[in-house]
Amino acid sequence: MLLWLLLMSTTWFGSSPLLPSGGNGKAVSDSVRLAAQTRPWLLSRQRPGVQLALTTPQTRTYRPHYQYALCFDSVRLSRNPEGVYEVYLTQQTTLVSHLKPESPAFVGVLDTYQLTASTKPQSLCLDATEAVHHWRGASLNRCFVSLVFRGNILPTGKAAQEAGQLSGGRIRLSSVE
Amino acid sequence: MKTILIPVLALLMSLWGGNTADSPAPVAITNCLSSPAIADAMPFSPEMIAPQAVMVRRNVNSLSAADIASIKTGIAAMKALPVTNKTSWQYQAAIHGTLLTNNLPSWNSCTHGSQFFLAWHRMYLYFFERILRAKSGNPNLTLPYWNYQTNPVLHAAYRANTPGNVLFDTRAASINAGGSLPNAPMVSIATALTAAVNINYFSFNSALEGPHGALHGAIGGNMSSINRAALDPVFWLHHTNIDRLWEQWLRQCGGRSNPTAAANSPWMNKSYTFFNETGAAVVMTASQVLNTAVSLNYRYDFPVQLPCNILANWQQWKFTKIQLVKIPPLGTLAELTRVPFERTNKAQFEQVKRTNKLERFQFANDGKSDRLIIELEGIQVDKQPEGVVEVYMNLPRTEQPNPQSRSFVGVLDLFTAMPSKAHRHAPKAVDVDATEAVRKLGLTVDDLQRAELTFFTRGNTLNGRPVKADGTVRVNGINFVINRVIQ
Repeated sequence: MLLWLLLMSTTWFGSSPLLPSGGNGKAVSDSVRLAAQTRPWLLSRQRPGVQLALTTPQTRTYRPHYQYALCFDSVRLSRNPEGVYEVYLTQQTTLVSHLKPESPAFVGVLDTYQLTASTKPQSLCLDATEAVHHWRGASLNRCFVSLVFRGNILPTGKAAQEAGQLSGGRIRLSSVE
Repeated sequence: MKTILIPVLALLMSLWGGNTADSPAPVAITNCLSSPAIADAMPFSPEMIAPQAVMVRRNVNSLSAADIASIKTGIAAMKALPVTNKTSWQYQAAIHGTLLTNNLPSWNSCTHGSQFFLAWHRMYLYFFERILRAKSGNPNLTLPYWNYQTNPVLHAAYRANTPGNVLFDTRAASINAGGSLPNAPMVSIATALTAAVNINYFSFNSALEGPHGALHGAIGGNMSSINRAALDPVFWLHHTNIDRLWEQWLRQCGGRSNPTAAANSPWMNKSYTFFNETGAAVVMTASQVLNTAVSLNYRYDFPVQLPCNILANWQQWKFTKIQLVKIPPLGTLAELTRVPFERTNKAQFEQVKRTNKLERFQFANDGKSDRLIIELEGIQVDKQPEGVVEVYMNLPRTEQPNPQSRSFVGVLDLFTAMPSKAHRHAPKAVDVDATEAVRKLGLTVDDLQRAELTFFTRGNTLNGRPVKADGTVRVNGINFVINRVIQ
């Protein structure tokens, strides 16, 4: 639940401390943005996978009892995919084709359905705790987010190729105690 | 927890109310439009449901051709109605979301990205099922589910693009061609069900919503848009499965439980308005959808499982054992033996109560509940009766012993008490859990000192008549023991 609050607060304020104390709101002053990237990105049939480096100028260390959130800002679905968008978090660059949902780097799937409620770009967040915990104490100064389109499987066994069109901007990795 | 969507409005709502790690964030506003209020809506009550056996929702792949035909009949009847009819296909779909601009009551009331995601959709399915059942003319119709975790191919009946097939809709070509959904959402669903971070209900609610949404997108067509999704018959297969996964999550026990009134009253009291099969508006609260078998008269086709508090609690939580009452030896049980407890030393009873602060029973639905155990000490079975020994608490003098009675506690486990080579140290103690009887009878701790136990030996039935049980069972003492969770 605390992570849920963090995710909401990071979406809105984007910096730490994330929520003000006082009033009815509960302050979450110990959430920290660990790393981010601000370049726009696009997934499409021509480019069904992207890998982006998240960096931070400050030294950030892994803490085992923290929870971690990965948030994508300004996400817009311009065309529906015939499949899903998978999200991975790794410490090294990895061939996108090598990433599988069964791997520890798998964070989850993007909820494109939510994006259809509004014509405006939205923020999507995923709980990246398990993927980050898998790094077991490594520095968090640099990591890589991979977005991979995975098509439905046709009766022939081949994957559907229609990757739709998904675009976004800033990506942030944050932690909360 | 793998996926969480954060609508900005939900964020604003989080600032509006207090949050704790154990309670949900405040009610989130969805992206949907608000719909007009309904003045004459009646509150839902389980008594509104005609008494009948609990209905079972089944895997769509296990349905017969006749079952599928019933669903088609119901959908066709709904589709034949004008959009303004509250039981029409279009009206019902618009309750979830619509691009139509004549915003009628309850339209666009879907909840996504909020802690009501599961509860709202359970209500929505429930009333839709009642309408579909009525329109189909099949009183046994229930909504089937698509278990894409075990079969990622859509049922053929929903894919057949033949004239008049009301189950067909335009979707991703791969899906309607008999292709499979990708595996990644299934991995996320498995994580939502099993990860330790998702033992909290609200975390699970959020964690399941992400892959649910990704599946909407992968199915494509109307399903990929919140404002059109419920127009596709697959929507109901998909969401019935999501509802089933809620039940599956609960059945894993390990501390998983639905919200409780004490900690979550704003959530429990949140209400939404739907329409029943007559088109009448009915208001339902989140607290009314937590026990589907009791409140909504349906369950899923899971195998029978003991409640979590029996499976897990005894290992997981520490209990303190408070001996309340000790009854002297009873001797041999007659066919009907009544044991009033008034002969118990009242001073001792009061002392035990006071020392242990036993003001009341602490009953809860999450398994962390007081349990009243009747310990029968030193049971000796000299002759196994040809039947069972039934135990009742406070059985009215005017009432014949009957296991349907709310005074029924259980039957003695004489198998455990029987002497055997493996169990040499007879006589044995046998426990009978009287918690449910105490709950049903509304007894307080104080009432126990005036309680009465009745033992009834019931013979097996032969040719429709009970045989004489003819056993010899001796009981050397009875204890009332409260097992209380140590907080």
